[in-house]
Amino acid sequence: MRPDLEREYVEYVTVRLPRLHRTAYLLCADAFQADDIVQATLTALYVGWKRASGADNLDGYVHRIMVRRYLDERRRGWSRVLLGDRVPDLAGSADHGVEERDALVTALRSLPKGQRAVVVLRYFGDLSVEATAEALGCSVGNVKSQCSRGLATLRSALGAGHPMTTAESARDRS
Amino acid sequence: MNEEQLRVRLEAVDVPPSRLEMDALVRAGRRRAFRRHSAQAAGGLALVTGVLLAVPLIVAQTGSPPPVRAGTGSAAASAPASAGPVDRCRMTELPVPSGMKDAEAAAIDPTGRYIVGNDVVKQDFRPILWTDGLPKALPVPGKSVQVTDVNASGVAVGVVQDPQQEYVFRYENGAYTRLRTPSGSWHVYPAPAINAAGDIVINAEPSGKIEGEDSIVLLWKAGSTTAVTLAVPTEANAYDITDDGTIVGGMYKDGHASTPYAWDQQGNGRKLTLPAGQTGVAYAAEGNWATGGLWPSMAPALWNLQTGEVTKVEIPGPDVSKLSKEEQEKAEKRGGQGPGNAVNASGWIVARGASFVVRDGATVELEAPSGQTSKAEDVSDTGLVVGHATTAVDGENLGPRLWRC
Repeated sequence: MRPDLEREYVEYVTVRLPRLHRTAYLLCADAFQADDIVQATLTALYVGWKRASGADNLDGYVHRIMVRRYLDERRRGWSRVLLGDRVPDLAGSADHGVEERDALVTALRSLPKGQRAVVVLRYFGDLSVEATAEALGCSVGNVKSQCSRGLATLRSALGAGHPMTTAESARDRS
Repeated sequence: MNEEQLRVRLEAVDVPPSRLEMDALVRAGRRRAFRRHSAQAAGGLALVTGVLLAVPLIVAQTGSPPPVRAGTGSAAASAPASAGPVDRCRMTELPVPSGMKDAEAAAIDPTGRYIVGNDVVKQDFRPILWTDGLPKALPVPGKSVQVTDVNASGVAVGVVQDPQQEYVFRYENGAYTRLRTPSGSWHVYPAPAINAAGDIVINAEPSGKIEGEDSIVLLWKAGSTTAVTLAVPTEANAYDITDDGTIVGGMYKDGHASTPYAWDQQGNGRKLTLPAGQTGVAYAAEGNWATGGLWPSMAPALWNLQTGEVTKVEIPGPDVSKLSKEEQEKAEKRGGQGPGNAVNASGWIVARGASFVVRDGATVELEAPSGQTSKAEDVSDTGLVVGHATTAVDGENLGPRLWRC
């Protein structure tokens, strides 16, 4: 890649990486799988950068690669594979395994994959219904129905009896 | 909870730190892009859409599973008897047609005579057929042509993907035949499989749907171009067909595999056993054996198709002794090595991308020169394993390989 194009790539990825990682984690609720799908997405993006960077909606394109990777069950289960050898210092932090540390993450995990992807893209990624449909490669109607079903399930999972501490404290802060 | 509250809560989720580093991402990207660029005589524009699913992942490994000599691993009570001790499998390179720089072997026929694989050019596949070890680049009648299976007669199957269309093909005697789907617009997935007689199976979902919603199972009897829709519940998925016509796969619920099944060609199904507390699905079968995955343990499964009995295959994980205590605990929680993706008539299992084959419940190392990592894809009844080798450091594809076990 030409140096100027690579700089563009680095700039783009540096800015987006934390957000992409968060999206991936909300999708799969597993730190290792999250790294796995983000890495696969960004390597593919590098190879196709010259073409991709000219796209009308680059973020949508990146989301599409990532969601497709997430939905492909047959490629999962190999998330021990990681790029680089840095082991983040987790001392003093909570256990970041897949166990249920956050009621919302737990509730998300209970959703079918498609519903989870729709909810995460719509409400965390702030994608429009149309952009979500494009990222998932499905129809707009499908996104709408998956979205309403996903929200209903989340509401019941987080409903009576489950304190909404995170949201309440977040609201208090704002 | 209204939509705005959901947004706030999603923002507030405590996300563990990422291990990805910008420098390493760029390095891996550079190597891959350079190699691909040099492999292309002329740059053609590749539209990147649905084909992305199957693009090989370039990754580095922080640790590969330690090889375990046959017989020292955890014993699987129902695994077939060993014909003799095998210490390791010797690697040989598979030659590739000139100009191909990113080829991998995908499948081998049960007799070991025919191997199929694909070169990757940008996001597209270019099919290869090896006969007695000699490679031949197959014609490319579409933008991306991926060959996925081959039988003992050298009949290969795969998928052609164009921006406008997508279809299953049969390649026989030097010619492609397009296999027709029922009326309507269908997306076929994930890859067609063929048995000795030439029967072919794959799943199809209505275009525009995702994760197998309203999906059907298609069967093309040997020589036919008209599909029979298997009389199984919608959202059942089939992945392989044995020489006696048994089709294996599983039931899905909301896109998740729930129960492994074997069906006859009338669609009469029987459940394959699951260990307590596990869900699962069968991905491949040969003779009396089927393999697949178990969740949440993420362990490979081996089913005896005659008895339906299951063996959960316990494989030692990566060497975590150098990691911190917390990391070791996490590695334990992450569980097994992923599903079995191929099996032979003796019940040997290959988990896709693994550097070992599971034989009689123990792992046998697929040998690789220093600095390389073996990645397995399929295994023949004659004990040949095919796949590819990568650099150990950053997962760069070094080309297709054959191991003799």
